[in-house]
Amino acid sequence: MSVTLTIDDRQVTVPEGTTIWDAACQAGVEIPVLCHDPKLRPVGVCRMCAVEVEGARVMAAACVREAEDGMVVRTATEKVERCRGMLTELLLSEQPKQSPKEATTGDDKLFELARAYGVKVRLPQGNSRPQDDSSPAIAVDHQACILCDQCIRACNDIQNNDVIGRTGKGYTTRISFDLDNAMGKSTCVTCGECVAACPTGALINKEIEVPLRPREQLKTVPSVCPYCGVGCAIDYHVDEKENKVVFVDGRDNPGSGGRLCVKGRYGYDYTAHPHRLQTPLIRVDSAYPKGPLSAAVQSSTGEYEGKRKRKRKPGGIVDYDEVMPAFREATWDEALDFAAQRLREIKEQHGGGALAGFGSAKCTNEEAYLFQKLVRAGFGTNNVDHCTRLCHASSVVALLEMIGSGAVTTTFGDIKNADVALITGTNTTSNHPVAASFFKEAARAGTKLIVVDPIRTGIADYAWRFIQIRSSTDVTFYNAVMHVIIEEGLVDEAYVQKHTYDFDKVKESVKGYTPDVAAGICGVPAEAIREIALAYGRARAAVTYWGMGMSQHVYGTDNCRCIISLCLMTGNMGKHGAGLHPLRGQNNVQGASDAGLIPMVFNDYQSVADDAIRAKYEKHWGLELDPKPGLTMVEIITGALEGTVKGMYMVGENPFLSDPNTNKVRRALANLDFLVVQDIFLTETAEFADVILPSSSALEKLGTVTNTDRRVQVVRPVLTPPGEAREDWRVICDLSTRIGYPMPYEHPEEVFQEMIELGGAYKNLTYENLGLSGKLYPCDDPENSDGTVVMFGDGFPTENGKARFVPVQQSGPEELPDEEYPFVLITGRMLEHWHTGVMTRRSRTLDAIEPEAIVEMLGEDLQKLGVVEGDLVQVSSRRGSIRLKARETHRMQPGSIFIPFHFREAAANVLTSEKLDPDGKIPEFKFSAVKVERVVAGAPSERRAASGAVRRR
Amino acid sequence: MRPVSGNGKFSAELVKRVEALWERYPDRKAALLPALHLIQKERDGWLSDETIRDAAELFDVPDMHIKGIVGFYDMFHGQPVGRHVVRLCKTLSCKLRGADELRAHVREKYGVLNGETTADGRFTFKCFECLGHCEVAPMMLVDEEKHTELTTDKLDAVLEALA
Ligand code: SF4
Ligand code: SF4
Ligand code: FES
Repeated sequence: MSVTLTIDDRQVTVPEGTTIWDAACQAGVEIPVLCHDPKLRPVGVCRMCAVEVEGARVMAAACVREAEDGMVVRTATEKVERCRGMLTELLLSEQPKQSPKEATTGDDKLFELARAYGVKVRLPQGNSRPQDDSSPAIAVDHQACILCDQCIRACNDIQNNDVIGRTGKGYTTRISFDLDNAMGKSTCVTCGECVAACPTGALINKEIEVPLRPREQLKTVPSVCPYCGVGCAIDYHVDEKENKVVFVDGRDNPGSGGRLCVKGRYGYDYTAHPHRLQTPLIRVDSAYPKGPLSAAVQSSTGEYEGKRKRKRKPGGIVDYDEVMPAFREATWDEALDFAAQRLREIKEQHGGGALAGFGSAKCTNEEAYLFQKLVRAGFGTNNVDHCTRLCHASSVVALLEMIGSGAVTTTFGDIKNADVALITGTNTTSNHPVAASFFKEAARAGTKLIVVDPIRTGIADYAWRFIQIRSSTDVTFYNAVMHVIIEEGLVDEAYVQKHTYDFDKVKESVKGYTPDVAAGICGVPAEAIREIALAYGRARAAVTYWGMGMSQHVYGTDNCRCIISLCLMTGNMGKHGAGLHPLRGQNNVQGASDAGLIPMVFNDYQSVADDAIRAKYEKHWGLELDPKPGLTMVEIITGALEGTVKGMYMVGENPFLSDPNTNKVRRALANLDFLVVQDIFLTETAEFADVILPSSSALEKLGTVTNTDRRVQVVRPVLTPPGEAREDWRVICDLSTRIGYPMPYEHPEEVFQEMIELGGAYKNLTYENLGLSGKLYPCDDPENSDGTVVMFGDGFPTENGKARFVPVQQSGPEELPDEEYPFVLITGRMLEHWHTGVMTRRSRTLDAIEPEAIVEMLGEDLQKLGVVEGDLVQVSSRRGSIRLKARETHRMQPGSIFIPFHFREAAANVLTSEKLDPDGKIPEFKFSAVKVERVVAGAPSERRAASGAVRRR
Repeated sequence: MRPVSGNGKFSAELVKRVEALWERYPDRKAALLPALHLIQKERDGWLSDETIRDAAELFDVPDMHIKGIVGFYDMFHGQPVGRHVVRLCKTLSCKLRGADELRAHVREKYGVLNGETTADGRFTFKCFECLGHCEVAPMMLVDEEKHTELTTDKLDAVLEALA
């Protein structure tokens, strides 16, 4: 049903239920609002939108009042204008004289209205409400608050963080955080959504690098967040003269919807950190033989302590004064020639197999493609890999084996169409915060979230059922779920028949996994397993999201096989609200894999071992290629240690912290004959380099990146690289040319189109049609469509078009806790930090929130050890030990501890083992046996002491 | 939504009564006001941050949601109170019939201003908006019992009888 009404003499027809304000927008009539935003649920509290409705007794609030048929609305009569003017004056009388927002980012809607209505304040002005400066990123001025509720809805309805409410009444009413705490001591996660929503100066950004200035005075560049795989769209506002970002806004796009998290909104200033490498560096002769240079890297492995009399660093990022004397500045020509010559020599003497390259999931698709091309064509080997090996390699192996494609089959936003969502092994609220906001939103709207995890993650707080299984019992758990689904006849026989094969094998293999058997192993009630199986099995549409809690195990591939089988047998594929989605960690890990930064495949997952495929590449690239799949990341490190890999080129990777068993990595790096490191900072890894090439950050180049949803987006140069630093793609081309394999590209899009020519996944896409919002690949009609959300509606890209079931049995972790090492260590990430901390620890805001390494464990475990929060403890495994502060949490299980791996001074990977999953070759990051001992007493950090007491949600 | 069973923070009796309330409303949140009265009673007559957290957990709502309610409604106390709560009406009818004098009397004789608790912890004194008994003004409410057509003598008699 639709209704037709007249607004300021214009007729407009709108669907029933449309508000007058929305109808007016459609009719092109502007009605001022203060408490309303189309993104928010209307509440009608400010009355700025009042309009006259013919025949009505009083004026109506357009933002909440529904349009009626035949209604005659006047939006700008004298009476209306007078009322708005009065309202503005009343509000203004309570405001600070100058708007805190106009003094910073600009865009204070109330002051704009005041100017529009020529309001002069005649009323006495009050100024007695407090300010709150406690948050590291956001300043609160209650005096400027008009209680429009926008921040409350932004926090609670958009980001679903449930932090802001109101307290008090009458004049004392104000917005409040949790139990009326200071913002910086509340459970606020500093996403800044409330600041973005606030129409006045009550919530403003704090200055980060350069004084804040209104948008109009700055250059605005639309690009993409450099951090996680969600790939949020961002508008960067830049001071061109300073070459620095002043502040950012979330940019509306179909994926992220304008939302950001703390990293995206406040974590950009690493790009302008004085530590940025600005000239090529060559190691001086006196710095040989190679070894770690900084005290922190020496001591982080434990081995060097005591041997040298250097004072132990309190922690933090690399100390340049310790490292720089080992290098001298060089020109680009000198550095590149030297690097090319040494790499060529190694190739000539020992063959291409003695060389290897680590690319980066932080670089663009084009750079990833060029990098693998350089290694395969220039080095003559397939020894090329990147950090996907450390995150989702096992997921990709399982997906390829079973459904023939390693990418996600649906988007994170599509959860809204699911009635059940299984979220497992992912700490989404920390690692994919904006995706998590969509999960929480779906939960509110009725999607049942089933969260299965050994850690009570943030998303578990929003779950319909949370199952805290014992670490490493996933296979048993999912086999039992499948057992129940089969027993209860909830298998989608028609789907299984039409689109899959080998179902009988799984049916057979899960026979023994009754809920009762599984209950004992997983440590959860049999009834809970049944309940979950029934909910998943009966769902009209069920979708599965998973993360590294599934993949980073020695049987990570098995874990993934289980959830894929579960999805297939219930026919949850090829429709909205269903499917499989491994949440990708890095901004371009999907793209880097698509581009062929994997030892076994060219771009688009085409096998290097396939003669026909290789012939295609040989023809295009103009030389013969190695048919042997290359070594994977950990294998390359082992090769370096054993001396079979002699020369390496690493772009934007820091294996020293990211790879398991740091002691071994250190020895391997020191053992390399020649190492070229290309990065934006001196990483721990760079201390072992012979040549260091300064490159560009994600904010300094043109190219494309592909997010976890398969959304290909264009990243644009926001800043110019500092000093002589260059874009990575240019450096790769230059080096390749000097090695003897010319790469005469002039623009990244040439590379993009070459990629498409050789592998069709990104077919039809161009920089132009990707535009501002990007496209989900595959995309048949980029002019009219956003691309494909749901994949495999009809069959799979396998040989017979069907998905294959692969049965698996539970196997145990490599190393079980025992008397000496009684705790289970799980490693992972924090909301505020990123990977090895190279970027985030150089961002003021992020570093201010989480400045130091911590280990999280239950209060009862702390007590048993005689430790209190803030004490320094030593955590040791069979491989090494580290020291860091203890923090109490309620999220772990008894006997399990959590250590984030961002902190070099207490590198979690000193403790982990390099045992690999046999198929995915992914290391066991999620299970090591360790012991914890108290070293000295300390004080808990103030902020945490406060928020630790506050329950999340 | 968590299954019904309480969260171990409140007495079984209270949880049973809250569950009965839940039955009567379309969603659980709607039962918050009556439930908070029960909770306040069980927790010494006031709602500390600790209690608010426990209640938020029981209802599966954010802490700040309950904090806002407690701050808004006068009958919920965010601060500790005396053994009794004395609410003296201060709205027009009672005012015309001598509420101001009664208030002055309380201040003089018992030493408490609006919102304060007597030194012996016997009662907390609060001046209230209309309590709905204008026909028998001036009036006050002591805990849940009303006392009407007050004089200073009558008021003293009531207050002195409090334990
Ligand atoms: S910054 Fe984010 S979490 Fe914090 S109060 Fe604002 S909207 Fe809520
Ligand atoms: S969710 Fe990920 S992509 Fe989005 S702002 Fe945060 S780190 Fe950046
Ligand atoms: S905009 Fe309509 S009431 Fe505030």
